[in-house]
Amino acid sequence: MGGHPFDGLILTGIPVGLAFGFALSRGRFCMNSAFRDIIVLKDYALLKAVGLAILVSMIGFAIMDEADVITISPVPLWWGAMMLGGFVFGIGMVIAGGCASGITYRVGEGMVGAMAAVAGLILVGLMTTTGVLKDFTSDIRKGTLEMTHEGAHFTLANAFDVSHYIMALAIAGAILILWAFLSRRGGNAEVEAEAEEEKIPWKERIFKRGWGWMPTGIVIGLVGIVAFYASSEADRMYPLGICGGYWTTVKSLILGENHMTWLSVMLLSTIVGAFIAAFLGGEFKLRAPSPRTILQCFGGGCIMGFGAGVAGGCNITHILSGVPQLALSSMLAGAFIILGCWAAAWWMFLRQPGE
Amino acid sequence: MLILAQLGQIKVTNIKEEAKMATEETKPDKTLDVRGEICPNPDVKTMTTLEKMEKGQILEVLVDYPLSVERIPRNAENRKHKVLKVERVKGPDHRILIEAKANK
Repeated sequence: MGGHPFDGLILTGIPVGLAFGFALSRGRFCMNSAFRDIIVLKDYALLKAVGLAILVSMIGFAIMDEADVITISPVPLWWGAMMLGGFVFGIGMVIAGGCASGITYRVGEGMVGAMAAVAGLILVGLMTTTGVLKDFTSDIRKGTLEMTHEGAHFTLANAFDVSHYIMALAIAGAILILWAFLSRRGGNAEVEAEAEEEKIPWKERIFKRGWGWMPTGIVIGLVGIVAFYASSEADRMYPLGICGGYWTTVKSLILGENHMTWLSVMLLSTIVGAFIAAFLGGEFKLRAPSPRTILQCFGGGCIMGFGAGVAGGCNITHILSGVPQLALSSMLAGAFIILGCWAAAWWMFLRQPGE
Repeated sequence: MLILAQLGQIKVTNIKEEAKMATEETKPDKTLDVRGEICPNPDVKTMTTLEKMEKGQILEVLVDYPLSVERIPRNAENRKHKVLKVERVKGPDHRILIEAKANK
């Protein structure tokens, strides 16, 4: 607790959250879809958006860290918690029908299933981090913590004793070269599709239509960079996050246990931003699936809450914010989120039971 | 109901008009209403339904989930079906017409 009851700088979370929510909704940015569709629908558009957002943030974070604007702050490598929490979170998001960012923007678009998932995420997330499962969480974290000899938290850079700046730019460069090479070999169908879109006025393309993967990835990567700077000026040294925002909001507004933070202000603004995007695009509608599906969403949200609670964050904290910081913890959690996602997606959509 | 009754009237009274409409607007053989459903059920249900249909039959999909409105057409085309129409009905509600296995 700082001396001030209210830090005005947390209000910078408002524009960041509005932009984040707007971009999530326009880009339909959901990692559940991104990872699940690799095996279920064989559709890679969102995967490319996620990859590009990570790349943009990776470069931005490295430059800001080198210029001492921010400090790279990896989540501790609690490897057991990352593997268990990540895997469970990955299963939960398939059942809930969306990752942390997916269900958040869909709340703003009026989807009741997503609201049920958020309720589960909050309930079990709080149980896991501060409630009945608190001891389990802290035991698995403490029991599996690995640190560098200097007592720092592992990143891909300090693990090899290389400067963060060099390592991040080398990785980003390697990805860019590989990407250019691969897209050269691919067809030009996408180029044609983009030429077709040229005729639509820009206002309509930004406010009324869904964005392609490229603008989506670039904008979300840039929002991550601004978020890191803004939150570092307020009360926390970390880029975007979602689950912690929900938990702090509920603790602050309902349980009265703490004050609103930059993250909770940003998160509420994200929902508003998604609502604005949906409203302007004529896509807002309160809509609900069957009661059984709503229950499924809630159950999935509960599972996600446990996973994120144990792993110290959801797919945004780890994949969108941790991986670009080259945090080994987040890479491990991210890998297990993907594995959990695939396991559940195979079970739910690909397995043919006794046909 | 009123609309249906009116449609009936048109059918009885103006057969020529109906024949003209049929060439402009293909009549679906099957309708799939996945409004309100969560990700990725609209897509999965559409693709499995299309697989079960005969070549040349028309499927009408009613969907209100924005990601699926974009994803169903591109995945249907990838699977050798032909997307005839994607139209916005109201707000997020869309109607997609797909000819099953047209390019197989």
